[in-house]
Amino acid sequence: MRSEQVACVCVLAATSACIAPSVVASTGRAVAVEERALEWRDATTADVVGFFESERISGEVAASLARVNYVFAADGYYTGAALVLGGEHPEYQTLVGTWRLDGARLVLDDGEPVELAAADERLRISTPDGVLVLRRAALE
Amino acid sequence: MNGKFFKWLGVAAVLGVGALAVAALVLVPPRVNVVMGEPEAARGPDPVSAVAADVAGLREDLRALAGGLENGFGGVADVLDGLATDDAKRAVEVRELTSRVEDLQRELVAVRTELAASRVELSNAIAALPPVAGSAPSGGKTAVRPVDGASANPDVASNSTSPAEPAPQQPPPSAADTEAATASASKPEPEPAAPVAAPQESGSKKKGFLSFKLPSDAFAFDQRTRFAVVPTLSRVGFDAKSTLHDFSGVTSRIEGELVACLARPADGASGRITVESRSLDTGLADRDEVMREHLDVAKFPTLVFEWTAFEAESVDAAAQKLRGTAKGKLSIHGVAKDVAMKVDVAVDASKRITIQGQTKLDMKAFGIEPPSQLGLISVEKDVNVWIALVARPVGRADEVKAGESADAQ
Repeated sequence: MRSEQVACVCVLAATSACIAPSVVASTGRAVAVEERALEWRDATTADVVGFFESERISGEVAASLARVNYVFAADGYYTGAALVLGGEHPEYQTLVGTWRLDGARLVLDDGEPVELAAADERLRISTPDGVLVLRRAALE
Repeated sequence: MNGKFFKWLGVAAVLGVGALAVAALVLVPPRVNVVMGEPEAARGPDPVSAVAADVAGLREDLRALAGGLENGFGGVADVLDGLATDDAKRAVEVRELTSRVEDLQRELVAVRTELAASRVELSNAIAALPPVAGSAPSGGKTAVRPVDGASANPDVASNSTSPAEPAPQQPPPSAADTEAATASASKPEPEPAAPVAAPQESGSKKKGFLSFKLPSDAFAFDQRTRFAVVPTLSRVGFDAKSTLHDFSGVTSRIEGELVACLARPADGASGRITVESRSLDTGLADRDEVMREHLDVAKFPTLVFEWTAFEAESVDAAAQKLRGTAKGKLSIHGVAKDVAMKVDVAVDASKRITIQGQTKLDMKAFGIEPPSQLGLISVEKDVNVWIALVARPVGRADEVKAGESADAQ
């Protein structure tokens, strides 16, 4: 019995050598989202028309803007919805209006033009208050 | 005969008529006023004179009209000249006003900058104040010093393995996780960096982003705020040592909400974090099975940390960081124990807070017998429990009244 135990331990010790260390490094505990290296360029009308959903929101607005969806139609119509936090309860805000491109900038409802870039089925809208990256999606 | 008769009769008649006329002329003169010419009135108006008079009148009228028009156009010209002059004056005034407004805006920016700096100084000063009786944590210390962002938590460093060591238990988040997290990760983004905002002024006014109306006071460092854990960006785990090799168990099945004023974390910080015990993954199915048996996940499906107090070691309002000890009650395997965990809290560019910390736990204290195989291969009873949470502000929380913090702690 004693020899069986020793043999078993030897086998286990041998097998354990094949098992890689599996301790999470203290520097790697936080979730790291892989960033795709995208080559952003000026957006065209073809880039904008379609249904988009937010992929990433950063900057000051991220504190209160949780999720954003847009539909940009070819005839200049758009509608948008955003889940806004910060009040007593989360609330969805919806918009309907017109959009157009002013050079490489996006104008919603004749408001201030905002920086717009496109890359790989994505739109990046940049304002002084934050950056919104939208990903083209399929309407199901 | 008859012809001569009638001739003579005609002559006689004519002579008679002439005689009668002469006789009448002689006899009647005293009674008949013979008018040799027509009176002026009887002749009527002279058309030529009338036309001439009309033409003269029209000429006068035209002359008067021309004079009037000249005067009128002169007046209009004067008015236009006056308007042009007024416009020029107004343009000058507008330029002056614009310049003045720009000056005022610059002054406003300067004042706001000074105000932000003053608020930071004030927050630091408040944090540096000695605890006031009735509001200080019982037995707690609130030593405030600047945070050295470069220095690592020595406790963390002493219990961590080499950074170069591979970590099989931490695969990169799935695409779904990444998609679900509509926010930036803690690592820098390639996008244009949004400025890290200075502490905001409290208020309820709305601000816009792409025509959406956003609350301007969703988060402020010196404001008591509710934070919700973002599971897809958060992880909780443990590091265990065994006679064969060390391993970690990790999960992102986390729920939780925290309430704190980061500038004054000792004032009534609280929260609750729940972890699904079954979801802890060590990377080996057999080992997971043993771990779940020892945790009795069927009977105790969650691990719960009730955060009840925070002892601040340092608060850096300018850098929006703080360090201290989170205290509370940890429930594992149906056993609740008071625990204290050193944590580092920071606000990222997306106004989320990151919370990282760790503490040592004795499994036996929670009624968990360390796994052992054949009495020779065993896991040490002490495990290093760690958290790496990301929480987003979800709203303001009621301020803590004086004395509540002491009671809470």
